[in-house]
Amino acid sequence: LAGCEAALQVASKNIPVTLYEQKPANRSKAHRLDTFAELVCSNSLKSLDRLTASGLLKQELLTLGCKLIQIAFDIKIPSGSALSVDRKVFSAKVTDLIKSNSLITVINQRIGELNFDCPTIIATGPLTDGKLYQTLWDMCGQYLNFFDAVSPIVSKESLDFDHCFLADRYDKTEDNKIENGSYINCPLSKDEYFEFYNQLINARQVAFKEWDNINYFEGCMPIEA
Amino acid sequence: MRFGPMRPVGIVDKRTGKRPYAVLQLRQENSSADMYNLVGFQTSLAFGEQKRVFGIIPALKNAEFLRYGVMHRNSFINSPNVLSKSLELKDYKDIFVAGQLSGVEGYVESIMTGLIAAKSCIAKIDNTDTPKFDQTTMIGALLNYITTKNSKFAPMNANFGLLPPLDNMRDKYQRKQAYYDRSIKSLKQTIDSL
Repeated sequence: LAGCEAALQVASKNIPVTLYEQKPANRSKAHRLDTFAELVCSNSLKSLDRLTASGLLKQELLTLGCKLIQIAFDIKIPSGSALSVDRKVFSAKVTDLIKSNSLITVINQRIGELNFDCPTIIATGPLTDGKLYQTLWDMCGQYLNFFDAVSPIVSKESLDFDHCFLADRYDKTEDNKIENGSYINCPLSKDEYFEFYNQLINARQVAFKEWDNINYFEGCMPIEA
Repeated sequence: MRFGPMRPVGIVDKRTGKRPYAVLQLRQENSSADMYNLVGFQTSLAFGEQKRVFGIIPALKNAEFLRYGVMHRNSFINSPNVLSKSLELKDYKDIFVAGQLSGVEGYVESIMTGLIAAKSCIAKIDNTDTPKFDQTTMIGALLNYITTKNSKFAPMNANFGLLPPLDNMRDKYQRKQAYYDRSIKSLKQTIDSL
């Protein structure tokens, strides 16, 4: 995300950009698409309401001519008061904008060392690894880290609509156009909830090498933790 | 969880007219609205266990999982020690760090650092002053946070707690409106100064 925004901003000032991208030959565990600006966690960019912190940040970015936030607004899909996108459409739009810009040269290559003779922006994300990980360690000292997790996705057609319904919390929608709300709500009775809860906290987790010193980020804490 | 992602507040079960005991919300994932993600259900459970345990929720009894939840380690540099507010490394001129590596958390925040690193980079190439963002803007407040000494430095989302407080505002709505007005005014001054 940051790298795409940076490339588009620099090119918009008539400065040529070389953009290095390790995909598709190399890919992190979290990435699946071959295109740029892949959202790997939620497909929501949080609130549209300008009187929330995230909404204010979006307005500031739009005021500064931010390219990616503008794209997200242009292609948003219904999700109450949140700015959500189809991650494939979002990624495709950003990719088109970069590939069609004659000032941006894309080189699909994994970078290990930083010895360019021009200003360089590193935006390789929290899953940076390999030689570049080591190079940055040598330059910046030991990394800090935390663990996070992404939530599952299910198909709509496989849901039992006798046991769920469309509604937004407090029936809050951006423009009040969608009467039914845009979230599918799956209610649980008290008994169902406690059965679910007990099974969840006793379920088998994937073992992690670094399990002992795990730091969760509270915004992305696993549900079973 | 009933006070977390499964909280039922603000939800009325249309079949009963009552608030459910607990609720899982599913958010539309793609434009054709045939994929939905389990809001707040990020997980490191084994894949088979996800199907079994989430299947206890009545609506998900026969759910088809298009993607299972996974967990990974996220790394970021110790920005307060090594990064300047222009997102340039203090000890390595001409090298800028943006995105979650720089210690911000969230998509919008990451995009913001890409934009700021680009503006700093452009200023260097054009030999002009690096734009300065006041702490009263969310951008300035986040840049300030990630570059200020902090023994417990952790990635940060945009939040009003980062902004200098407006003590005389008791009404929540008025206060947020004042944060907004103050920020946009300051930002426009920054843009005019460029």
